[in-house]
Amino acid sequence: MLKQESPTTEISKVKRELPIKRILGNPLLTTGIGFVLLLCFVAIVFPLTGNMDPYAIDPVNRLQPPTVDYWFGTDDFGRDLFTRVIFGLRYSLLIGFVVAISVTLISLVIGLFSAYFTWLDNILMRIIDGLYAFPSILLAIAIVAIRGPSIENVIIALVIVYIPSMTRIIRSAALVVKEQTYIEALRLQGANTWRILFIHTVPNILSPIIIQSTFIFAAAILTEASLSFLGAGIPAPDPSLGNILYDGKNVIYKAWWMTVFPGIFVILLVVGLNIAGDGLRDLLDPKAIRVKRRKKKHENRMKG
Amino acid sequence: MEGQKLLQLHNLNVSFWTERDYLHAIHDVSFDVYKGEILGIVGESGCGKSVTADAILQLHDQQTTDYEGEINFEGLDLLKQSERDLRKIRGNQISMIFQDPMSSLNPVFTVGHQIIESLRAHKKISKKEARTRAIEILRMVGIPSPEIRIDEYPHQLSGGMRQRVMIAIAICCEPKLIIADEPTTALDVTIQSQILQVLKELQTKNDMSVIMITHDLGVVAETCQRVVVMYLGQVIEVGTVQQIFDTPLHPYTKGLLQSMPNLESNPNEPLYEIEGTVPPLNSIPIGCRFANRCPFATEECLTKNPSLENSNDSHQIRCWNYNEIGKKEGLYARV
Amino acid sequence: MLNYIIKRILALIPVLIVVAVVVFLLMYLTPGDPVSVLLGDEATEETIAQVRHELGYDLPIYEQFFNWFKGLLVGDLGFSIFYDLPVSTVFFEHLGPTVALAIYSQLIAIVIALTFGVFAAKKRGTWIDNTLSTVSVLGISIPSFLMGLFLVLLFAVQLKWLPVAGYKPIEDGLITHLRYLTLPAIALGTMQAGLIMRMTRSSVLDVMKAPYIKTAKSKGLSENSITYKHALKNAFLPILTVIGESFGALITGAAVVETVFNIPGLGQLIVNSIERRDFITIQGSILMMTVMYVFLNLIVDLLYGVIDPRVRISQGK
Repeated sequence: MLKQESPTTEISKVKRELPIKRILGNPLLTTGIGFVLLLCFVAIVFPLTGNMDPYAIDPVNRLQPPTVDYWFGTDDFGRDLFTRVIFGLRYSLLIGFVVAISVTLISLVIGLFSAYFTWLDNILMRIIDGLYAFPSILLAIAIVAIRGPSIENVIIALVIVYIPSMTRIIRSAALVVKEQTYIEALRLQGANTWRILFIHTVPNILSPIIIQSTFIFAAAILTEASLSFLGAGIPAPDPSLGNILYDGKNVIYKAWWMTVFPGIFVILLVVGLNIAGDGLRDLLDPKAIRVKRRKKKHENRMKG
Repeated sequence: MEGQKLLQLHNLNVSFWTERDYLHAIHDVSFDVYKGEILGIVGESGCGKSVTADAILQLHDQQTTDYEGEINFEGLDLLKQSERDLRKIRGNQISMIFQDPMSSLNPVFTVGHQIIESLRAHKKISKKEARTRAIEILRMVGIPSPEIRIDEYPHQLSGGMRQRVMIAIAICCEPKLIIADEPTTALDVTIQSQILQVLKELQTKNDMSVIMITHDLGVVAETCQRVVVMYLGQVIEVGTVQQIFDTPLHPYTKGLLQSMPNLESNPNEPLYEIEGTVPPLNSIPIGCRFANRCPFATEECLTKNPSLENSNDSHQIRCWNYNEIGKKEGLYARV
Repeated sequence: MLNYIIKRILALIPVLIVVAVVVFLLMYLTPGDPVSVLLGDEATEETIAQVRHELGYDLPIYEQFFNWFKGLLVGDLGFSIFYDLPVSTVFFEHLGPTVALAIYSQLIAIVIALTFGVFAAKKRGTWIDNTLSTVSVLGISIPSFLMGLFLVLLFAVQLKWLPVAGYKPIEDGLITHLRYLTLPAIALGTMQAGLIMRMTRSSVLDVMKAPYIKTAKSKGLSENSITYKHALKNAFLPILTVIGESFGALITGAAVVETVFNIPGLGQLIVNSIERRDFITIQGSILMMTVMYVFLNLIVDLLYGVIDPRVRISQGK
């Protein structure tokens, strides 16, 4: 009797997808990261051309609309807005990045140890919950107000503000991993705590961490802009996107460019990060909803 | 078996769009359901039995599903009905019971609410009357203290009681046909037989037809009069329960029966398994779909898909060689 | 249900204590000596020491904390030098406009977000869905003050439909009150709407895959009944969580939006206090606002119990 492999119909074949292909095939992720990289490129490369000084005053040309010489116009001190916006972008990127990394590292330590040591958990999580109870900007304002406005203090304030959210996520994810039987098996084998935590737990909780750090990056940028706008952020004359908007508020009717240009850059940066975060979530979260292709409308006769 | 036909499926094809593929889930499915009978649809996971069941009431997502063929019910082709007319039939003349009552009942509404909702959607009945009727129906399906239970939420009931509630919802408008999709699979064995008992009693009492979908041949043996066997999206054998169990014609059916452990088999011998695995829906073989696992496959089997033929009045079979195979003892040689 | 309420209230206590400690520490760590600031440059060492003793600044830290905490419990938030009034008085004077703004903007946001979120879920995969999703991403990416600035530019310079600055209390007539609050409410509400819409869409989509939705369809219920009754009630829990979390952004945004539109609310109070270095007012206001925020979240928690019977029955034990 014949039992060979029968030829298959080419109805369709499932392709095994390489990780790179999955990343590139995800339009959200590529667009988002594309935006962000483009802005990074602009922020890093443009100043290298040499003659961009965000502090240079040109009192004769105060509050000029965009011209060939001053692409984004000038501010109330006659400073070139284009230069200031680019440097402000640098600050935003720097702050966002530093805050995201710092928060992740610190939260990792707190979250992991909380998850594994119940006595520590009770103390630490009370404090974390208390911090989490503050609306972010109020806490940041308070910290900067005490320590004085400077870029370091802004970073410290933002790190403190965003640690609770990341810690909670890491802690929940670690708790889930802890209950898995392979962790129990490791413990019975006598693996020491550091090993369990860092070699076995961390790789399994990477997805939510990466996704959340993208959103913290974006949130830090927004909060810094708001802080600077309120005068409790990066001090003048340093160019922060928030500062420029603050200067622009008083002359908003006379100089729309001081509001529109820094505003657009804030939006672009944050949109890019948010879209990238969404794309990451689609990619990494197994429960993400996939959209099915839809059939053409004229085939759909069941209306009514 | 003579009797009036209630439901006729004729050359039903159902295909879906998924993220990557266009899958032909069921192909050329035809069978009839007679008045007052319990018809079993049996087969492995993925063979298309649930797709067939859902297709009758067209519960699939309109946007991603294509239907072809005919489904005749009381003179209407269900596939040609508008959504509005279908809603008058769903829950009213044809109802369904699903596998897992915990997830199939809405957790935020009381049990009574979910029954009353059905009643009031299809009948002109006041809230008070509906409530009385709901209590009555709960009692009919064997739920003790129905006047108290009616205001409870699904998570407050046990698995068996939840399934009884599902049955209550299904019969409350006195449908002519109930489609039960694996109604006992998620339940404990002892509860299983209770639920099947409830279904059988109601079926006789209300003179309903039931389509019983299951992968468990024991359930089929206990409840069904006729059986449809499905494999990889096609009907491969239809017959009375005696024909299927005593004189199965299709090698797959034979294999299924042989894999059931029974009291007389030698406990030291390994359980029989059908060789190979079911091919995925996106690479369906040309020719007979079972050929690559069939010990009796011939050249013809590999290249041409057999059609469903009548072996006698009530027994249908989709196989090129069933006559020759049937002349042997009926079962495979042990591996 | 009562059990559930009590449990939730009790859970608040440790949080409130930590909040109080944090605020106190922030005050304590403020550089500079508050007494010297109070008395000015000309005070002598003796006077400073004496005043410090009178005001209790020379007590050990935990005693200072207890005294301060006791004061809190009777509503004493300290005294603002700038306003020459107790902080609590100043706070409540500025509370009204902020609350009005917050309610107005949250209402707009919830109505828009729920409507369009459900709509986007129903039209999943179509251009409508893609457009709405893009709009909601934009919404959460524009900080409220920036939205406010853009609205000011648009409405002050181009279309002159709505006033761009100032505040009229409700006593001046409801329509006027709302007219002045509309642009600020839109500015604030945009981010809220974006957050809520995204969660609505994803929560509804999640719920629509549940087996009980198939059951509802098999009962012959109408599409509206299935979407708005069966699905939405179940989808609402995560949406409620986001609404609760968004109150934080609301307060954050209100502070900033008020400065754009010149609304004399808590936001302006805090910002002006920063400029005047009136730390006592800043700390007192932040404490009060945080406490309010905590209670708002309590209400959200209690609403869970109302919506989902599983929560109130199991967690009330």
